[in-house]
Amino acid sequence: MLVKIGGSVAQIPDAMSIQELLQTKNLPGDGLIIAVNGDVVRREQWKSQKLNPNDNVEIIRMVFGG
Amino acid sequence: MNDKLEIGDTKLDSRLFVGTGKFADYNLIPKVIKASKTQVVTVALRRVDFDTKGENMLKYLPKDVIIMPNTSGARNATEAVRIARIAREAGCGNWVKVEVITDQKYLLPDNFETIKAIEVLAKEGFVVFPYMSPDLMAAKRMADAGAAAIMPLGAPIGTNRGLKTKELIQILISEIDLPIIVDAGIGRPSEAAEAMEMGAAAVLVNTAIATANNPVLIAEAFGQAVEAGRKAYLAGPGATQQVASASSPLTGFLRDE
Repeated sequence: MLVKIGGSVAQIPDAMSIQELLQTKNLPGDGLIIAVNGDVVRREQWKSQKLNPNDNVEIIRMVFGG
Repeated sequence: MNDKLEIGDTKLDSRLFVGTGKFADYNLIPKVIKASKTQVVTVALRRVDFDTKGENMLKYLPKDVIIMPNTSGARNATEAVRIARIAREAGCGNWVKVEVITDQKYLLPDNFETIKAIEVLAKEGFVVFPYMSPDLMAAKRMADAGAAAIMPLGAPIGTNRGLKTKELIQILISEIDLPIIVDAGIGRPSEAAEAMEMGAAAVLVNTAIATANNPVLIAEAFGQAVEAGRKAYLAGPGATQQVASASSPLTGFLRDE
């Protein structure tokens, strides 16, 4: 299925969970914030929440800044 | 001396807020925090770049400092609100520095959009620190909208040019019943002291520390300057006058006059 990740369209397996998505991107979850369609998904739900076609996924982290 | 900066339920001993951007080496950041004695640091949020991935920066920040995310990147109130909500989910508390910027040359904040963002965020329980162009009417609206403090700029972000807006900030200090925290533009400890002497509640410094030859040493100097300026403000400096007034007795004993 097609979803948007960080503003770009990406092809991922159907019903992939957020946790699985992070694993395929080789991203440790440490310090990350995930939003799907504008809503933050709590860490506890990363395993259970499956992505749907056309979901808009943002993977965000804190960075140093003023 | 029992002189704490009170913001909401929080009481701070240090009146220096430190921004964490632009440091050449992240390992400097904990040292800067320690040397400056700051208790509040700002951070930002960014999309993860799959090429560089980045690391969890929280490991560089001592556990006892307040982490204040900013909304940098927001070009309107809606975006600022969205960034603030996401930042809160990161679990770093409910302080947020609202900055809404569309002007890319001077990075001057949009006071109008900022007011709108404060209205929403304050109702949601955020402790809101708006970065703003020093304008009395805008500051009043921000106070009415529920801001916890007002953060006027001294000069454009990153310019190290000092208190170019001094007289306008002075008006905010005298007319607004909220802490005035001078943010942006302060380039030297003397300028931080100057802001504190005139009654600013705190200052936020980033570029001036991060781009100094010795960031840790200048961080310490900024901490001391803020303390010195605050004490001078509390002490109430003596009046100025045009003609000299002797500090030593002029009564001579060498001559009979």
